[in-house]
Amino acid sequence: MLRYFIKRLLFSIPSLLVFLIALFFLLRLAPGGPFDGEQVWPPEVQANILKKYHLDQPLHRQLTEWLIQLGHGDLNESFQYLGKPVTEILAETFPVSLLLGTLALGVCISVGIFFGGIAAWRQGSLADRLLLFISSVSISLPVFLIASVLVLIFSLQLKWLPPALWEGPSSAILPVLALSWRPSAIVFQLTRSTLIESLRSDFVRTARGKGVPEYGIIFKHALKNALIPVLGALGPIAANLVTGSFLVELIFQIPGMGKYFVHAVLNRDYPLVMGVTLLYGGILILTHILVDLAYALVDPRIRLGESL
Amino acid sequence: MRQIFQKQNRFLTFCCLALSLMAGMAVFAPQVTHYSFEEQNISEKLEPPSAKHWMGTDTLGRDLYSRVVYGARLSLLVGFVTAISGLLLGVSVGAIAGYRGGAIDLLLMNLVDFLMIFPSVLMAILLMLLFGRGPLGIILAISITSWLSLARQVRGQVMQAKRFPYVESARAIGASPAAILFKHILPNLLGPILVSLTIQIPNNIMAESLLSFVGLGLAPPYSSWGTLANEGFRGMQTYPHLLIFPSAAIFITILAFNYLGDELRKKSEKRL
Amino acid sequence: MKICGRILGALLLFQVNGIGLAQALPELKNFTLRLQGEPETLDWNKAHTPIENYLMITLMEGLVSLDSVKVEPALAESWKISGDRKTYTFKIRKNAVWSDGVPVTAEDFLTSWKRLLAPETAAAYAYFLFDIEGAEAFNQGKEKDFSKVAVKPLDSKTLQVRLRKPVSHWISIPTHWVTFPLRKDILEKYGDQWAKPGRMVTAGPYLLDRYDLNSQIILKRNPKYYGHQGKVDQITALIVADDTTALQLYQTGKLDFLTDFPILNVKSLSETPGFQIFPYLKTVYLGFSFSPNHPTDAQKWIQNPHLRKAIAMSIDRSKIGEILQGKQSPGATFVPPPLTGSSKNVGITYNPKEALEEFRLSQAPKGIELEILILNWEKTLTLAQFIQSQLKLHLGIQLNLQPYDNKTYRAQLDLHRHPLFLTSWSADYPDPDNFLSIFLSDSGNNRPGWKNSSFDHKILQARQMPSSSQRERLYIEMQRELLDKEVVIVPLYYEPNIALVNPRVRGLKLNPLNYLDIKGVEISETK
Repeated sequence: MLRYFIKRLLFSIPSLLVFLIALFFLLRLAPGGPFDGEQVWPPEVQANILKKYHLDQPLHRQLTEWLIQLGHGDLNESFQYLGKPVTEILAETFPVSLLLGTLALGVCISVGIFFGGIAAWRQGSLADRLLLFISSVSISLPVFLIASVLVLIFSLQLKWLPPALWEGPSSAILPVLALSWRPSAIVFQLTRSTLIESLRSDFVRTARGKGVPEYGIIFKHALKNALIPVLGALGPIAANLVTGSFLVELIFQIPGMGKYFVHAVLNRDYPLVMGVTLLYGGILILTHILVDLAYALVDPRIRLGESL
Repeated sequence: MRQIFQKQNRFLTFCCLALSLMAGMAVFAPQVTHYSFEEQNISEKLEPPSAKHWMGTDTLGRDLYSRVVYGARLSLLVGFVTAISGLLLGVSVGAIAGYRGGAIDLLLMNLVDFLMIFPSVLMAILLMLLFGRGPLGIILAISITSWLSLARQVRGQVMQAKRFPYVESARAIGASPAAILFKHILPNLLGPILVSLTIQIPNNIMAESLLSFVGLGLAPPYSSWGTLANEGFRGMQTYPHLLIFPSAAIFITILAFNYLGDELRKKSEKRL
Repeated sequence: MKICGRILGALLLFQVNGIGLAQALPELKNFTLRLQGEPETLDWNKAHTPIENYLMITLMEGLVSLDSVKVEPALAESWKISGDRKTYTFKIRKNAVWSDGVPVTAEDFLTSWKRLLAPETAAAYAYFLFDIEGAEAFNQGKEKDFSKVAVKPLDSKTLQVRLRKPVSHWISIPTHWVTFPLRKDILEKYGDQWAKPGRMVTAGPYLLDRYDLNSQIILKRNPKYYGHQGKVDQITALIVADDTTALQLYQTGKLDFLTDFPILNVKSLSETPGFQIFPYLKTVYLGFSFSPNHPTDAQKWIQNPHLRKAIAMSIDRSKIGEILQGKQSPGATFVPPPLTGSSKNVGITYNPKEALEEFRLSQAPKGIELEILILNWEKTLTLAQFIQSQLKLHLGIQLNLQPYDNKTYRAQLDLHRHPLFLTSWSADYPDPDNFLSIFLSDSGNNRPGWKNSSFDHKILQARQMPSSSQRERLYIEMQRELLDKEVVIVPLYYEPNIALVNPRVRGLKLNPLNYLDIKGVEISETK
């Protein structure tokens, strides 16, 4: 198992590097430069700026320089937030995104699987239909709409919770809800449908025949089987919750990394985009490997060696 | 399709009706509106819904109903085209990787991993900067990012299905890999594929609206529902109609897709 | 493990933040304002975006400052201008000290200006000092010796500056934050990383107390400040990127002062007690691109002044105030009121009939398509769509909008690929020269790329004129050329600074350069 893990990890590193290099060139293709602003600086000023940030050198030189620095664990300084090392920005903002994402993932898994189990258990009942309806409605709502409705109700009308900022547990409630709303519904639907499917399978019938109570069947026998596709979906969902929270971060003004990333792309802050991507890449690769491992744990029929 | 209509499920009929209505609106937009979607009338700006303007008017006095009807064209187009191209790409890559295994699997999955490194909407933002803001740019940006999770999922399921006894026996008789994939494995995956398609279409319609949110949507006066909803979002406290109607259009469409997908899935399962 | 620690850290911070704020508030008079984004830097030599504006002005002071549009003494209590109008001698206040008690000296200005001009600093606003003898050569790296730049401390409290030629607006230059003094010992100790809490020393009314990345910046009253400070103990600058979120924070009492919010809400908010409109020196204009690198048909047509005139005549600018909801006044001259050189009698007026005639004279084919380059902001999109419909209505021109994000937009402006563009200019210093000199042939900000040597000559001539009535005549003359005859640009409207100020806050001032003055602010405890 450990060998597989290390092998996968080692295989991923070149992929990540290739991707980063591709991104490096892709970024330079986008029109505009990091120091274009409201005003046009005189040519001598512009030349000084380009020289200072090594933007006057040929692209491959810039790339080698970046890679060498990366080897030393240095991600350069941000072009937009002058004097701030990218590593420092990541160290300060990533934990916030991670916390937000983890909380949302927790909500998403517990709500999704719990209600999914209930709906499958009482398939066709009123509760099942109601849950199904709510989940369909939830999936159909864009994040910004959920967020704005939550803010309208709980902050502006009822004045119970703050509309934005990151100042304490009460200010985390709305963003976590907004962020986990849709994925919860997705997890719910997946759990429900795969559970129903596996409830029809032979081994469940056998268990039923043996007189195992229904909730026992659901939460012990069937769920374990049903979790495979759910796990497959949870990987990207988890990754997206941590990395894709930028809209929620923007709307609720949370000092996380997602918002920085969008701004970095829009402002052509090359070092910051590269740094964030590197970190995102690491997380995503890790989640994928973990999901594959989890697959293998849940379903012994899948043999790890084969994917290598 | 006929079977679906014959079924006694009123809600499903409603969903099909809603979708045909949206599609009809998109196709016959000039026939079902009596105002132009771009004609401005400053003296009638920001009016609430009335008999004259069914959904009210926007900042420049344009008829919101006409704009929503014309918006259907763009939103549905973006949603469908991107989901279908994503589906084709995702299923083929996933199936090949899962079935063949070995080096091909490793290669393809690493490719997927590369592209997955970027959160999809952020990738789309970057691609939009490169492709420009036309409908083609948006479709490309969203399609490129919308097949990845499907590919992974299909791969996982193919890997699982490969061990089913009937597949192993088909292989033993000497059926070609393509035949096995298409005859024995893919039909069984129809359910999960449909489920993820019903997730993908709404996802893509939403991805388009998120792009509008960061200011990279389609250029006015052409407005998708996403663009309209985002305009409305800015003024939701004062002029709620600007947010409500476009959002309702997005919402109903996506809801209908979800139900339709659900029913289709049930059907495909029963056939087993 | 490390990540676990980080999460724990984030959780802790989260707790501390919440409790800390709740406890600190009742005793301190706190004033909360909003920043539209993370400041790029607080290093005043390098800061160059409008986001840093409020912070720079409250943290620091320069030789002189601007009260409304008048130059007032600041760290310099007085100054003398020589007879040839080239030498400026500033007398620095005796009681002006840094926040650590060290007196402010002429040497501190020398340190700062040398750093601003040094090529290694790569400061964008270095050109602000180019009127000083030797400054431009030093910035270009042609001259390595800073003693050749005519900035001399005569003694510890006297600074002398010599210009290469007289410039009538020059006294406004040292009001800008890039020219604020810097301490040599601090720079030597911390290098480029000096602008951080605990390191930065200031000589303005406030100190940098705390900086939470991407979240908030807290300023505390500077006890060593020489002047009158007002009653606010603490300024909290919240970083809020989204306009809608910022508005909601204001509405729930978390912000005391807010300037940019979605235009759809302006009308309903204008009836609330906190709504205020401050004057602003900002002109939004429609420009025509004169240097076509890729001569398309559209670019050839736009070279014809009749077409440009036709376009100018077909836009009803009096409607803009209603569409943008902020009572924006329609533009006439490029120089906005109340500056000299602003007049209602210059510029082309709305006249659809004559517009059609001009269009016919231009010999452009009917139903032509033109592209307009714009920013993808709510306001500019709305404005551009209005122009689009006006041109279609009166001239049958199909205007295609090309909205881009800020960076792409700037890059496209430089490429001159689109025959029309929408942009604005806001003052760096309150002088007509700051507006009209952007159309100098060699100015990088000459977005239309229009070149006219007699116009250039007049600008330089006006710069050296001591009499303001003479200058005014020249500025009007120049604008007749620019707007009426050549129609290089069409001034659309003058932007007001629309703000929301919490009713508990009184006495807040915002000058036409968007400089915030909170020295006179009083905060009542009610609410």
